[in-house]
Amino acid sequence: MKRKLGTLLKSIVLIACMGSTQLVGGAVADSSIVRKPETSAATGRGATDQRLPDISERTELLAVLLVIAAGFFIVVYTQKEEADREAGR
Amino acid sequence: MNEQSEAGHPKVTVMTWLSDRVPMRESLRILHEKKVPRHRHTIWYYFGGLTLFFLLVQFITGVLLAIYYKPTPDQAYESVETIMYVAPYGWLVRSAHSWAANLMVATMFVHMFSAFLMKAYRRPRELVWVSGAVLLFLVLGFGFTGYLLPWDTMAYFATLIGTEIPKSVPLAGQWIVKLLRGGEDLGAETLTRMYTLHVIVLPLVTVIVGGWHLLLNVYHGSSIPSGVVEEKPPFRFFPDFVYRDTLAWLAGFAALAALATIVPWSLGAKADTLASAPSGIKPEWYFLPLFQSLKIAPASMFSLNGELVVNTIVVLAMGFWAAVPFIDRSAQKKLTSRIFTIMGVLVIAYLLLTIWLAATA
Repeated sequence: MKRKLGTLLKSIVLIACMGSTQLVGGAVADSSIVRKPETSAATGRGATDQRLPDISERTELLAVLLVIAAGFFIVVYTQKEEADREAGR
Repeated sequence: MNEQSEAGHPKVTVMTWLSDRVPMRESLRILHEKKVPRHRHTIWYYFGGLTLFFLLVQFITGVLLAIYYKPTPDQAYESVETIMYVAPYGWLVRSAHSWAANLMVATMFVHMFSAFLMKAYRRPRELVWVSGAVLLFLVLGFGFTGYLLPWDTMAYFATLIGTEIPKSVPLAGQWIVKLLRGGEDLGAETLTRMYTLHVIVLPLVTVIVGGWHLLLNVYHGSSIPSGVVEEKPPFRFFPDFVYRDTLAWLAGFAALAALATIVPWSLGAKADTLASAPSGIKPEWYFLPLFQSLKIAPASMFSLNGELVVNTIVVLAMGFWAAVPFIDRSAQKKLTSRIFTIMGVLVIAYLLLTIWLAATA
């Protein structure tokens, strides 16, 4: 029971880490290397495209994708823990 | 031998059916027996797998994009608009394709430099390194050929400038430019060439060379850096390392999903081929070191064309890089080969510095 709780706790922490990639993604995107803000006026790139779904819709989609990834993560992580236990790690 | 069912007939499961026809058990046994060393640098082993993950994303999203994309100057831009604004989740697929390309180059650089600094190219893994170097050139080729395809202003003028680079090569310069463009100017022939290279030639060669790279890696196993002691018993490749690799892939998926949805890849204005190049045209970040080196080079060096000197140095440096296992004799003798470590660190510093200078200029 204690071991299962430990696995659950680790999974929650790892999912929180995965969620934080959203923030990391935002920070990377804001960096001048990937955004090329200086070219947006000349080429039309870099500016937020108004014809795309708005940010709230895109965030909802991201949440769905992260939940799917988290589901797979828990399954694989549990399997890994099981294999480690069998191997005496 | 198949198990017997209650009725006395042999019990056929998917696994037993396959095992009778494909050497499943033997393949699994090889993966069970393959070991992954555990030491303080084990974390770097995951970047090769991450690169493979992003490459697979490229293949899947690339096929989906090819369903809608039309490689002619009249239709290319409009077809990308259809992908972005009409096809269901087309914007997400295109964003994932573009971001995965960038993440793949980034993880590949980490994988390559970690292998270099750990001297993983030592005997008998010379050909693993050489095939990896070929994969690097192929991936950069993917970036170069794919850049023109949206046919927007940035794509058009960056490719125009990029295809002009070989012009300084004596005798063959003009010929190389013509070969790349399919004529004097950048137009329909260039787009067809880039598209063919991007979706047929490069993927085919990448699958062959990548398969060879993986096969050699399975055969030789992961290299342990000189002087590093294995602290714990090694992982079995399957399932122990595969589970950990899958977790890394899921983290890569999460990062890609975040970038593709929060910062969707944009499409600029349609290229006006008669207009002059707007200011601020730059290539992708992984070509910025070459871009910046050409920018800072004087017009004339050693009474030679400056651009030619830079291009020659780059070609020689790439050749040297690919041939490192045959040059670094110290590493072959399992010595530390400090000079190559310093060289690796200097190359990393130069790449980061030039990327930063070009990006902030």
